[in-house]
Amino acid sequence: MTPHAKPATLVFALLFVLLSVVLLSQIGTQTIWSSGKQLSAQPRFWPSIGLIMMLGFGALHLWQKRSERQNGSLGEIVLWLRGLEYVVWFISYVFLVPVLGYLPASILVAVALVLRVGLRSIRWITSAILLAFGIVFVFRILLRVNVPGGAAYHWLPNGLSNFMLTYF
Amino acid sequence: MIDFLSALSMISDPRVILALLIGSIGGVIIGAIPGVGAPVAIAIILPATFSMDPLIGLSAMLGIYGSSMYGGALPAILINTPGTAVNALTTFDGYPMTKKGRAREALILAYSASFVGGVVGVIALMLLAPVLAAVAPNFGAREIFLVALLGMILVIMVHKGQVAAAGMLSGLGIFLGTVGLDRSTYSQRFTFEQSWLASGFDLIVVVLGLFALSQAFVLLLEPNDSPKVERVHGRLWTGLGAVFKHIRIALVGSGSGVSMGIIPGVGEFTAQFLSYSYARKTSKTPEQFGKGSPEGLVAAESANNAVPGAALVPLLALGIPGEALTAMMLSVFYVHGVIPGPKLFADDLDFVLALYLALLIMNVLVLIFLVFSTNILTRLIQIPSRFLGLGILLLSFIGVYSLRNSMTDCAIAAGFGLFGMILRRLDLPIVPIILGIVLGKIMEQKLKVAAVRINHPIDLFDRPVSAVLIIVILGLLASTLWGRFKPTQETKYQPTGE
Repeated sequence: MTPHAKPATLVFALLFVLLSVVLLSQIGTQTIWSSGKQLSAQPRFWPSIGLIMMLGFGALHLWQKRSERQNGSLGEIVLWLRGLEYVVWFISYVFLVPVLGYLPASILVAVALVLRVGLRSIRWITSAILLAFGIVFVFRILLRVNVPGGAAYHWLPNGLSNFMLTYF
Repeated sequence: MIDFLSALSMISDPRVILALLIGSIGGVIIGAIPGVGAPVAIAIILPATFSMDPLIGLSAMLGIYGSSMYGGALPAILINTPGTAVNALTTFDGYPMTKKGRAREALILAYSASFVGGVVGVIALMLLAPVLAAVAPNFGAREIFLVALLGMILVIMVHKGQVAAAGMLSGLGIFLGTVGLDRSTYSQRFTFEQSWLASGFDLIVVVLGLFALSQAFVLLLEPNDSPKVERVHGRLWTGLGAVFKHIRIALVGSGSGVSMGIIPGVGEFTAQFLSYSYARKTSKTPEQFGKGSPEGLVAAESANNAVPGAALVPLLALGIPGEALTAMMLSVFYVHGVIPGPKLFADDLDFVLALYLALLIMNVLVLIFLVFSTNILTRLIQIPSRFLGLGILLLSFIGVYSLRNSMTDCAIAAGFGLFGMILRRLDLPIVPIILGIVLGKIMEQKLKVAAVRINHPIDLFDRPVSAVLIIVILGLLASTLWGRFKPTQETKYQPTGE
């Protein structure tokens, strides 16, 4: 009986080998050969070792997986693409922090995300707010981790603005 | 003696004790929540420790590192889901014991066996690290290169059934470690004229992406899973002596953890399976293994908890990490200006002793915490997976952003997060990438220095340590190839078709 592999294993292996081939083809332009140096001291040597390993082992991996049955590969690739949504959430959070400030941005993202993933009861919304506040409290106030204050804080009255810039 | 007293004085600083307490308890909690794990926690908290004194920051990190596996046993026993990957073997006998109504006994055995393993691991570290540090002056660039090479080979080989995948991902790690400026020629490598690639990939950013963000993405994409956990009835602390009924298994398991922990690239999985195999072979009731055998549980937990202490031996003595967590710990040491190696033992022995004491105290704190808080921890196991994903995503931000307040770092981490998510979905190993980056850099630096004195391959054998290392590497490769290609019983036997 043909063994089963995880869906889309073959697709991943193929993409990995292709990436290795593309990178290896660039070795001449992306690294230099320094005359008078030993082979092992060449700037080109270790990138080549890494890429040859990627290509060699990648091809072996591809060969091993060629005959394994993989049902649902398309669904798996769609799921990888759905992962991009959360990359966008993360990057949006990164952009929001310097604008809104760490605490408001964290609460906003936590509440929006908890609603997005289907946890829509008051219990989970409250938990998300508390989680965001707790993280900000621990890292910003207790551990004094450096996060720039939000531009929006400057719109607040003077005393409150300073307080928010210092602590949140 | 003066060094020991100085170490005692350092460790008695309330801030160190507090950091250790927070790290230990945090590690247990993180270990007890399936899907989080120590690498995620260390990656997230590491940047927050940059501004702390070295001993305070390292104590917190060591607390998380050493205690997560204790916590990982809890869901493994109660809901058949290992809290950390290395607790997988604990489910074999722990969960069947729970189904038979022996959850309390299983937890007591797991905690006490973990304690035996943890303490034996620290004792091994105390005894062996100075020995290795004393021998370490015989380790020149050539020998360090060979140890790193041995670690790289072992990392690939221990991934049974996934050797090709581990090899290609190790290669990716080595490649990623070379991107950016080559300091010997001041030339750029694989930067494609992009300024954001000029300084290469920061290890912490890659680790945060591959371990933390990838886990957040996986959890956010999964259906909401909120397992039901029964309360554990009865006092746990009254039965802690039960491990002494199986002390031979616990000590052999710890020994297995120590020996496998010291060898770079091997780690917990091999240690556990060796320990488990031994326990089953020597048991009077081998048929009970996998069905709720206390001996099997003790074998698994003692072995995996002995590894962290032992894995610090090559890290502290030679500066060579053996697995992903020690690779991360190495960056913790560097960030705090502590350079592992023989010089550390010569110049800052009190500091090293303080680290040993911190690890010992950590084991005691964790045991006490677990015994009294198991039922509280069971509530954490029931947090829905998507809510956990949300928490990790918020925490990952602070981990990456606080490094340099760089949006580029966040984008790189997000990219590695997506790649790590795909690897997790395909059950492909992430650890070889991290070790490829760390060991690749060590190999590159050391080979450059060593190559100057090597004119002929035979020169590699002119020093005893390097000769031994080369023989070990060649023997390992030969035995692997022999195991791969030798004719087996199955291939010799020609089936007749019945």
